[in-house]
Amino acid sequence: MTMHQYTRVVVSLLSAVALFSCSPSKPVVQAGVKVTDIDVGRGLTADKAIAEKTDSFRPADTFYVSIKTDGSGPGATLTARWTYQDGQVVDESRQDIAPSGSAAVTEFHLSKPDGWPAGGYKVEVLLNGTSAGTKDFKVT
Amino acid sequence: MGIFGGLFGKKEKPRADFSNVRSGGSSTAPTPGMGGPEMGAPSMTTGRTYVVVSGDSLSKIAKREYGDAQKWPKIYEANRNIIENPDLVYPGQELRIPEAQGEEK
Repeated sequence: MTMHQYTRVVVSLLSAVALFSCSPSKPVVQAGVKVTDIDVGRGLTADKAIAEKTDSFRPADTFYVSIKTDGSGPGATLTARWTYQDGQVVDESRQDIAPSGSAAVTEFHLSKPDGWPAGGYKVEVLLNGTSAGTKDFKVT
Repeated sequence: MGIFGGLFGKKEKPRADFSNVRSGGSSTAPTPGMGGPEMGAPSMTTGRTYVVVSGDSLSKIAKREYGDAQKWPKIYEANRNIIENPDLVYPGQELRIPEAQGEEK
């Protein structure tokens, strides 16, 4: 093996190591803020936590998702993307937050005056456009 | 009908209609600057909103949002366009919740 070939092999190996070290399984941390917990259910407590956690709703219910974040930063965008079982995007809402303490709770809610169609739903939470987790639930 | 009946006789299930969905949200974290969110999505909800659920009243909502049931008139005043009678709010109504810091103490 010539010196040139040897250099090529070393560069290729280093590239492969760099590629595999960028694992997508790392927790989503954006601008010093990370999502630590996502809950879905009915109603909220005074501190915006879910009052009644559930993954089974009735057609007249309001869906709530409560997102706990940790850390602080000058600005982060939380998005709740709600989808139906057929892939339709039911709603997408965003909130810009600037958490200054160690923990914060952000909630999104969704209602439908004439009742929800039965079936499976999903809410995906994104932090600055990057998925931070999903929750599946159903309406029966 | 045979093959054609099987192909064309089947009725397609209508897509669910989500055009009247109401969304809202709030956070214990402050918003950047003093204004609301700046990045927009078609159904984006800015600031603080609250969707009335069964069993709610303005004083209950005021207690939850401000920690003081006596502040219900603040919510009523901010939603005079949709609340006719402050004793009556209905599930599904989306109320604007004014910021608490605007309150004189």
